[in-house]
Amino acid sequence: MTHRRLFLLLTIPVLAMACGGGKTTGSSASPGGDDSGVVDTGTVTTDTGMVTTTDGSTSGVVNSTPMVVNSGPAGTGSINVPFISVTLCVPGTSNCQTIPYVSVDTGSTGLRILSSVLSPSLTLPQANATTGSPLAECYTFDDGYTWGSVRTADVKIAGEVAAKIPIHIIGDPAFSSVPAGCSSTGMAEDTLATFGSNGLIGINQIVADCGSFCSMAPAQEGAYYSCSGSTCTAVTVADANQLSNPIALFASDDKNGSVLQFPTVAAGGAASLAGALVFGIGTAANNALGSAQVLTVDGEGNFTTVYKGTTMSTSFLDSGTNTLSFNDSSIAQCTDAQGFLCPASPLSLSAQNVGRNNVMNTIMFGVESADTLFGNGSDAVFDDLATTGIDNNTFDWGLPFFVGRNVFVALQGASTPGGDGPYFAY
Amino acid sequence: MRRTKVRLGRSILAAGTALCCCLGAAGEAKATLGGDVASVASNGQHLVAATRVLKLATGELHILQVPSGIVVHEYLSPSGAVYAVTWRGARAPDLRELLGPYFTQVAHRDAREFAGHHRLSLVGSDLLVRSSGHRGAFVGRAWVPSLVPSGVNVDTSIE
Repeated sequence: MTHRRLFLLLTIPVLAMACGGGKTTGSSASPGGDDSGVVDTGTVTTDTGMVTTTDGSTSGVVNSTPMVVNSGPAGTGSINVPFISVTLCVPGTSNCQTIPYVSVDTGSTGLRILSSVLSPSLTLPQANATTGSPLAECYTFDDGYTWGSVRTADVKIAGEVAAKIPIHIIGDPAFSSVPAGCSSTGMAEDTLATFGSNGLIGINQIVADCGSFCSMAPAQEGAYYSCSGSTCTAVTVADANQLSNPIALFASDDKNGSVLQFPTVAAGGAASLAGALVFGIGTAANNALGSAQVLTVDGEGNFTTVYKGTTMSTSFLDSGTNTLSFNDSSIAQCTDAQGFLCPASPLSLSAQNVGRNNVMNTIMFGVESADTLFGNGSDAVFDDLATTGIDNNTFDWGLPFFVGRNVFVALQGASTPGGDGPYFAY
Repeated sequence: MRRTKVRLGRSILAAGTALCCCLGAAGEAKATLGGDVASVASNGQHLVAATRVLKLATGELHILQVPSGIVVHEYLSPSGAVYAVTWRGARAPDLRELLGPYFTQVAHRDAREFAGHHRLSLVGSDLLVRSSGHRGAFVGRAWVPSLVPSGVNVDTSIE
């Protein structure tokens, strides 16, 4: 494993980022733009001529965009959250706006943007429910809910385009009345101060954001709503009309998945870490599986992790979790950073991940005291930050897992050189 | 679903002998977490849930199967207080209903930790809440430390 890791770290990312790191015109507000003191991975090199000749993408588009982990938009103070820039356009027009600091989440599906960061001139058309009335969504995360309209936009990232797809406009003032079935799920996260980023792009393997929970009658509270005036009523929405992983709707061949690429981070953490989000798997020179092992997952995106003899059958990789989150009562809890783990000295641990296809590999990982790590207030990236998990069945491999790796996320039903999705590979 | 059955089986084993009839006073309660057995029934009605009750070695487990597929477990202490609630489903459940008077601590948090959106670890006033998960698989638990019966370890006994 060690040799494989080193090979991946030292060769593939460098080659991929150097060639595929296209920064599209209009991405000047890239979250990577204010990096300082980080290793230059070359991710913001723009050379469209190079891309068309050496990228090798069958669709000939720039399929890579810079991705950075840093403290996020001013005043938010993110820890271990990856960001990219996303361009929205009124469908079929050149009326576009590039949104920086959109967090990248392999644990959810769909593009969600805060209404408050959109230009008033970007008049995105409203999507309608089957009732003929405007469609709105309540999306529940684990830490709160987002509420707002569903509108359509052309979504552009690097050279990729998903035309006229439904996206979620969080906190849309035209839908200011939150249904009780939504607000009763937790905390409202409809502003930058509560949501923590300008938006979120969910690139989970499962392409529709809600699936049968939302498509089958009776309509469920806390999901999609048909709104007439200020009165919103739960409504069913077919999978095809739900928010989608935008990648699945790209016009190019790069629609079968993505690769999250990050170099390693210095011991003790860093203020910023520059990587890349590459679209497609096996469609270009910069997204070949190489020696990565494919671990297939079930319909919920889960595989199995065996940790210290405990078999955790609902484990997953998630760039939207900012820690390694698992139960181990032998590791001390923090006194300051509540919920985090604070071993007396740094721990070197290991676990086995087992795909539903029984492919298994061993993961070496570290856990260091969060109280110690947080001692340097300017750091925002740590590869050894851990929290107590939710139960003994789940190992949530959050952002620290992605640091120093190329992680492939193949979409459900998509064809790739490593077999059909859904799977993770690394 | 399969996992739930396994879990129930384990709970039944843990239950050992069946016990007891009367679970505390039948006070009127709108709440659930922190409430009494009547509040669990109220939850069941509100959520239109099918409810089963398992006698545990310590107290009871009320299992609410919501039509949407969300499964809620409510744990009652021997003195009849709901000391813990867990949930698992495709989306978040009605936490206002399940957490009762404790819901406001979840819905109106002061400190905001920007940590992605798939993990919550809340240490409130006589309240602990943990939530985790991803698309289509949300899992959470909330408990009131002062009501947890002696001998019950929330990390290992509550599912």
